[in-house]
Amino acid sequence: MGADIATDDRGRIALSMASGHSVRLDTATRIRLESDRSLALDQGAVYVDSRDADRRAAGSIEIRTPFGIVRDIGTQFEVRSEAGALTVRVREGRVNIDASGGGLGIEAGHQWRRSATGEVTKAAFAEAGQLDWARTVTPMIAINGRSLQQFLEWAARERGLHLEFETPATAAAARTIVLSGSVEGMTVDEAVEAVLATSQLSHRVAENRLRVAALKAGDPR
Amino acid sequence: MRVWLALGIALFLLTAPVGGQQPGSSQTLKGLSLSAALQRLQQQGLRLVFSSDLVRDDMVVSQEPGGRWPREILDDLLAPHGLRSRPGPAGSLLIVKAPPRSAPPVVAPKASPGNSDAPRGHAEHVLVQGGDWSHIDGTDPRQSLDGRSLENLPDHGDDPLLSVARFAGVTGDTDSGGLNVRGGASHETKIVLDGLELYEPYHLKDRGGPISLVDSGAIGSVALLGDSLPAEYGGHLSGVVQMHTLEPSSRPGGEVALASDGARFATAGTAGDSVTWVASARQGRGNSLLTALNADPGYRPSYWDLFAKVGYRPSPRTSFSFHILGGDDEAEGKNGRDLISTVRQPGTFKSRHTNRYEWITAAHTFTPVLFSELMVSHGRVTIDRAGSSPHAAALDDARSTTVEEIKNDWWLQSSRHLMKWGFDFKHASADYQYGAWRLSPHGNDAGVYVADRLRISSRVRVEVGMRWETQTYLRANGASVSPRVNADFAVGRRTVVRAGWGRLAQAQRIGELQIEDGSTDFSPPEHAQHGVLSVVHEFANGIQAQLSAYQKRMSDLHPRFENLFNPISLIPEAERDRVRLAPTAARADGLEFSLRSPAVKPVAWWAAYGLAQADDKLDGSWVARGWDQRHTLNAGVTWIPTTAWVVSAAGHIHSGRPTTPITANGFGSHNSLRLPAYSRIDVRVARSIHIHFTKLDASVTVNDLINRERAIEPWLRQGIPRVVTAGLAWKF
Repeated sequence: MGADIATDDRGRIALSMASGHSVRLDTATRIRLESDRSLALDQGAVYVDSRDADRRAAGSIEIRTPFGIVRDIGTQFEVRSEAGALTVRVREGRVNIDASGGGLGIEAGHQWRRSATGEVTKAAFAEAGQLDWARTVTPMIAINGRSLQQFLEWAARERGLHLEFETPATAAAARTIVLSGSVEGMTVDEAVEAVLATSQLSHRVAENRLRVAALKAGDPR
Repeated sequence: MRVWLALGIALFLLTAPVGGQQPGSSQTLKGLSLSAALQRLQQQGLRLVFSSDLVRDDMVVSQEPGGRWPREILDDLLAPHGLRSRPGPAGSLLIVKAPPRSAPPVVAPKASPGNSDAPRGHAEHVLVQGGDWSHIDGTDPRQSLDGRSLENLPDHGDDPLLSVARFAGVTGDTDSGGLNVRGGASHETKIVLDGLELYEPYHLKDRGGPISLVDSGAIGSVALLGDSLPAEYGGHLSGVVQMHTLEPSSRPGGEVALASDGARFATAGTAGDSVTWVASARQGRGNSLLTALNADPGYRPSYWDLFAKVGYRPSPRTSFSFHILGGDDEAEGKNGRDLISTVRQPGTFKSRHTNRYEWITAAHTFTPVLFSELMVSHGRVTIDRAGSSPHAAALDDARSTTVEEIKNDWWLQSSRHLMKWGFDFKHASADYQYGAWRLSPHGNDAGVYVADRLRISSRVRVEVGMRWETQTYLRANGASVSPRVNADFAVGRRTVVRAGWGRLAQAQRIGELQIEDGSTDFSPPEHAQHGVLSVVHEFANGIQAQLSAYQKRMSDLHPRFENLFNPISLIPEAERDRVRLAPTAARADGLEFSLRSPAVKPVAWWAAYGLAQADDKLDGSWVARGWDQRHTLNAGVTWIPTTAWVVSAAGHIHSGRPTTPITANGFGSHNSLRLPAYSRIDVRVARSIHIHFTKLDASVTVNDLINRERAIEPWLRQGIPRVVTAGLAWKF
């Protein structure tokens, strides 16, 4: 521990912490790993996922910034420290922020921002692609031996979508279908396309939902 | 000896497996579960993705695979279970259900650019060809490019029609809009966008039309069908270029681009579950091209175009698509000094070209085996030119063409047959005002066809079709009967032999009267007879090779007018090098050989060689046609080292085209000389930068890097000298 990690303006990386947390660094980011449950963010943005592919919680992690400490409670969130401002966006779960002005909690779907001048705002957080950068460095799930249901839950969570099945029969099929092979090197969207193609299912993304249905005549195969 | 050694090494390299693929294990697979056998192949390097839904536990390998390579073994393992592999992302192979070997015909997939001759206007409804024809992907005679490949090719403006000029069998001036397919004249090539025929869909037509009317940002694929055309294609003697617009994905996106030649915007996306849209708009001035042509600074063209498509799918069986396409070109010459003219004299020039198309398609699947598509369209093209030349009276040319069309196609599939039938009916009218001439022809142009594709055995398929066409505006009887026969024979899993024969007819369209040259009557239809024999083979490493031999015989040709030395003069009919050619017949023969690698990262390549001869019979003698190229070699490579960089290069070499000598008494024997061989290298370098959740693409394209044409007198040029285009595109 105590290692410094930095990305330049073109690179992003994903780290797997010994604690089980997945930490992704955006471009132009500098952090210091203080322990397996603590890192200091000097500049840029980190995205933290405290659940693994099997949705097991990895416990709490804290992000230390010059403006305060951000602690998660089973969540996915982004901490961005840029130009003297700190922004925390919570996609899932909840985080606590210990700032100089006191502590407060941020719920899923909200963002908290402290500007360089000290002005603090808290507002609803509409994803609208703002966390898409984290998807570009998503550590891919090992699908071999997993059920289709597990894979889809993982993909939906990575995309910030709610998973839906068209019919109970489709949901039941997803629970029983077992996957083989590897989706390493694919994006999340590509992996979903690929896996569903092998399972005679189709999907559609609309209004924050990943809707999975049986392949019908006329659907692309 | 060295030559043979080099050839041997080249052949070895060509056929050697790529991607580390090694011959399959000699361990027996018979008796294993299919799943276990697939896992063995995974251990040998195949990146498979499959699920227990299709690869069930009770599936057992009952016969030892005969293939030697992992891909061959995979095919052998899957086929008995009604499964197949198809390429997936990141070099993976997805195990999916194979199309049925016989009825019921699957009403299915989004047709790939290279897919069959089934309808494409509504890709979701395309009827899959029988599984027995899917031995290799190369059974389709089309040559095609998808949108990504179009973007990567080093063509200025990512122009879709310029890219077609790189296909095997296409000759002529690769820097102008005209496409000469297998020895045919450029007007013999039909250009179709989402099912609608477009009429000379080019910008800068005063300069030969080097830019397509359709922006590449809206194009999902472009394909060329140059073989013996099935019966549903009529009205053209040589080939069909099919452009299909994007099929939007679920996520709306767009692109704003600035280039040295202009600016453009494109967007595509979905709204809800049943509505899709694609739109593009573009504005430009052709500055780079005009600079390369050393055109008069006083000549100032500008153009714009707009395309929009809205798809509506009220049910899984029914879809509608509404399209509009428009474009304008305006040009004005201040002092009129036309530097690329053979006659460098002052004059004046002003022109305006407009194109407007609106069309609606409706597609419906009545039953799983019966499908129909209906298209209704309206199109209007106008040309206004005014000017003066030292050799002619003042130019005053205003003409317009209006075409309303209804077209209906049907497909009915059974276990051994695919029946196709349909009709198209056009009402066409035109107005010509050229100097003192006034003409307003109008009439109908109709065609009816029927064809049956019969699966004779698991290896042999034969399609027999007949087409009947007539035009009421022709003075002579325009009715033509065109029989067509095509056959495929699968020699093995990886080799297909194709043969085709057909008779085709082409009538002058109502807007094609060369009134500027004194033609005031429409000629009877031209006819051609095609014969083609092809062998397509896919090597185990995915490289695909095709060898084709063709023969075309053309008759009943109508006279045409050509400029011997400068075909892209502003007022060609006023130039001294304008001649009238009245061939009684024409012939085109050729051999083509092409290779292409699989489209895998980081390097993909292709090469196409053509040996061809195209002659007109003039005054009893065979004379080379102006676009005849005895030898043509096209080759290209695309290198994608990282997701941020794309580098592509393409080379083009051909024998010199025919030209006519100038003697003391005027022009010598027509096309009796040859220009020197022509060569060109084009390069494109593109870099992508991710900015938050969007992407910025910067690219530089250099056409004719060597720039040999620069040193050649304009009237001896066979292509445009070096054109450098820089572009910046923000994609979101």
